[in-house]
Amino acid sequence: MTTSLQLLVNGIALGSLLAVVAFGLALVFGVMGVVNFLHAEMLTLGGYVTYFLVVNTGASPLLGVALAAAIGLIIGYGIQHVVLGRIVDRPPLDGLLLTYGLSVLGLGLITYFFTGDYRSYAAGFGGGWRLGEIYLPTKDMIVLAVCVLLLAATGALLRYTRTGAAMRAVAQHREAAAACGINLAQIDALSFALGGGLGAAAGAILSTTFVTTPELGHRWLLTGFVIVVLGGMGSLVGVVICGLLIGILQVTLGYHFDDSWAQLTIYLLLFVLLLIRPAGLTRRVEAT
Amino acid sequence: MTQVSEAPKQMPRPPSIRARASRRQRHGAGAVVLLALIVVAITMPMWGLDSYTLSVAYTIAFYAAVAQAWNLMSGFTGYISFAHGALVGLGSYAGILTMNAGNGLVAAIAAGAGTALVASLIIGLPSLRLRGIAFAFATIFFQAALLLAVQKAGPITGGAQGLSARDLIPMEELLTVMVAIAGGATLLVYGLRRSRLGLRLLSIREDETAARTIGIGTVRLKLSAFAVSAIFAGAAGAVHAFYLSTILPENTFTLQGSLEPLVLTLIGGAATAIGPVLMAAIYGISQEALQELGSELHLALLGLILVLAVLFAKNGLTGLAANVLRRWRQRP
Repeated sequence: MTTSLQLLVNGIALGSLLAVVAFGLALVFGVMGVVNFLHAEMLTLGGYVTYFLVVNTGASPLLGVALAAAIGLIIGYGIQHVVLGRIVDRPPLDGLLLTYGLSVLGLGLITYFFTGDYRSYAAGFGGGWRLGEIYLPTKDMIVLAVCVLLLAATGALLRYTRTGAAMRAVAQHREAAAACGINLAQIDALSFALGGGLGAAAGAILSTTFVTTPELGHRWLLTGFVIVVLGGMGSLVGVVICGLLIGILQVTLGYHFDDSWAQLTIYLLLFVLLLIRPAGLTRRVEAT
Repeated sequence: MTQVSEAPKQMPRPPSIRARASRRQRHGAGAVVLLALIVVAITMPMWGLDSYTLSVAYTIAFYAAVAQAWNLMSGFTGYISFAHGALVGLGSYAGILTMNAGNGLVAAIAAGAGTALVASLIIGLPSLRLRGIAFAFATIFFQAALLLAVQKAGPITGGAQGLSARDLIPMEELLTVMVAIAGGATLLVYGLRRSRLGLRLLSIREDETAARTIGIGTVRLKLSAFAVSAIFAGAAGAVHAFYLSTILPENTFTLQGSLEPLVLTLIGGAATAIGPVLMAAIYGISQEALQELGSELHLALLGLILVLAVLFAKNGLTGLAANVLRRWRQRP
C-alpha cells in the first residue's frame, strides 16, 4: 500500500512533466495539423541551455527553465516563418517529413557542437518531506509546481485571451477562422512558438533529473506522441490526464520490472491505440 | 473533424499521344541501360579490382538495394516508412543467427527476408488499415520498440554486446549477392512502373479514396507492397551483416539507417527505377569524399537535404529535371 502510494506520487511528478512535453505537440498539431518532430530538438536544446547556464554561472535551474522557454519561443517563431510557413497548404505528410528533416538536421548540429558526452549538474534541490510513510522529494515537488504553472499559464492563454481564442478558432476550422479575419500565418507562428517554448521549458526541467545528451529529446518525444494520441490531438485536459496516467504507468512498471520494459510497454500501447482508436491520430479536438 | 486545409490539387494535363509514344521509346532505352548496369555490376568481382574499390561498389549496391526496397512500398503508395533501418537490422540479426547455427549464406538470406516479412505484417496489419500519418507513426514506434527489445533479449541477440559472424564470406561473393538484390528490386520497380499493378499502387498515392471507389483493394495492395519491400530490406540486411561481420544494436537500428533509403529515394525520384540507384551511387561516392565531415555533420547534411527536397523538389531531382526540361521545351 505504501509502495503503491509512493509510486503514485513519483508517477504524478513524472506525469506532469510528460504532460508539458505532450502539450507542445498537441498544440502544434491542433492548430496547424503538423506532426512536429522538431519538438525533440527543442527539448534537447532546453536541456543544454539549462546545463550551460547552471554550470557556467551557478544560477538556479529555474532560471534555466525561463531562459530555455524564451529561446524556444524565438526559435519556434523563426522556424515557422522561414520554413514551415511555406508548406501550409500541403498534405499533412509533407509537414511530418519536413519537421523530421529539421529534427535530424538539429540532432546532427547539436551532436557536433555539444558532443555526445553525458552531461549532468547538481540541481541543488536536495531533501524532502515525510508525509506519514510517503516521502516527498523536494525536486519532484518543484518539478510538479513548475509543470502545473506552465500548463495553467498556457491553458489560461488559450482560454481567456483573444489570441488564445483565435488559436482555438483556427484549430476548429481554418477556413472559417480565416474568413473571420484571423491572420492564419500569425496564429500558426504563435502556436509553433508556444510549442517550441513549452518544449524547451520541458527539456530544461528534464535536465534537472536526467542526464542531458543529444538524444534526450528523441527519447521523450515518442512518449509524448503516445500521450497526444491517447488524449486526443490538441485537447489540453485530455493531454494532462493521459500524461499523468502514462507517468504513473511508467514509474510503476519501472519499479516492478525495469525502465526499458516500461518504455517498451508504452510504445506497444501505441499499436493497441492505433487498432482501437484510429481517430486518435486524425481527429482534431479544440484546444481547450 | 476532417482535414479541411488541403489546397485543391492541380490536375496534371494528360500527355499528348506523341509524348506518350516518345516516352515509351525512352522506357525501352531505359531497360537496356538498366540491364547493362546490372551485368557490369555483377561481373565486377571478376575484374580484379582492389578491395577498396570493391567495398565502395558494395556500399553503393547496399544503398541501392535498401532505397529500392523503400521505393517499392513508400515510393509507390506514398505511405512513408521510417522503419526500413529496423527491417534491415532484423535481417542482419536473423542472418547472423542462422549462419552461426551452421547454415549457408542462402539460408541466412532467406531467414533475414522471412523475419523482415513477418515484421512488416506486424506493423502493417494495424496501421495500413488507417490512412496516412498513422502508418508513419507506427513505423517510428516499431523501430524504437525493436531497439529496446533487441537490447533486452540478451540470450538470443547478445544484448548490448551484439553478435559476430563466425565465418567470413569473401567480399566478391557479398558484392555479387548485394548487386543481385539491388538489381532484382530495381527491375521490379521498373516492371511495376509499366504494369497495371504498379498503376494501382500509384493510385493509392494519388488519391486513395478514388482508388477504393473504382474497386481497387487498397489494404491488400498496401500490405503486399510492404511485404515485398520488407523481403528485399531483410535480405539486404542479412548480407550486410556479413559485410560488417559484427553487429551492435545501437549501430543497427539507427535513425540514419531509416533516413537514408527515404532521402535517397525521395531525392532520386519516388517510384522511378533509375533515380534511387543514381542517388545511391552519388551518396556512396560522396560519403568517401566527405569522410572528414564526421558522422554528426553527415547526419545534419541528410536532414538538410530532406528539408530542401520537401520544400523545393517534391518529385525528386528526376522530377525537377523533367520540369526544367519541359519548361525549356515549351519556351516561347
